[in-house]
Amino acid sequence: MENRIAALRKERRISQAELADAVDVTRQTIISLENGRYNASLLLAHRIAAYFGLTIEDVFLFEEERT
Amino acid sequence: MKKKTIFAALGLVLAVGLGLAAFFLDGRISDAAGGALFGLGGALLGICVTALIGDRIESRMTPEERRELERGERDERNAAIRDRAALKSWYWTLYLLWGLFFLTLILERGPFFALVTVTIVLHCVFYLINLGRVAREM
Repeated sequence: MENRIAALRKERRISQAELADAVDVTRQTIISLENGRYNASLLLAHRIAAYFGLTIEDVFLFEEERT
Repeated sequence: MKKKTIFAALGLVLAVGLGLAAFFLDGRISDAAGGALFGLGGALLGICVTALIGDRIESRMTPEERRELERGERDERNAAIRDRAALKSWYWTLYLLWGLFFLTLILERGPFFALVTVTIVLHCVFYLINLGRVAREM
């Protein structure tokens, strides 16, 4: 599952540490999410989307949607 | 003082006591009992020293560092890593036990064969019990 976390973060000039703080995870989790090595739980996906003021579908791109 | 620290300190005293008992009772109790006392004392010593060192490190942390540590423990990726590592360790231990099972079978070591067999059964039973418990929780 791909996501737009890195792009959204850069667009809004937010650091990985700030995002990690806001959604209550470690910075390493944000790095892994951005690299696509880890898929967020529904709860974390919801928290990240809410932080950016977007819906989950706006932030996370599901495989079926890309094809 | 925290409850955890008090228990760790008491455990440390008990561990030293067990070690000393094994040392001074040498010759008056069986070798197996002496080995069990010494082994138990050693294991307890390891657990308690680790707990006390962990406590000491934690007490020296700044509030920010402590918050970061707590977040690391709650972090869902860390939890997933811990779960996967635990499951892999379970399989590795099972393979190791099977290896010991065949070794004791070939070497015809009756008591050890029985011990390994019981350990394999318990290893699998605990896994099944926890599977059931977790399944009920989810």
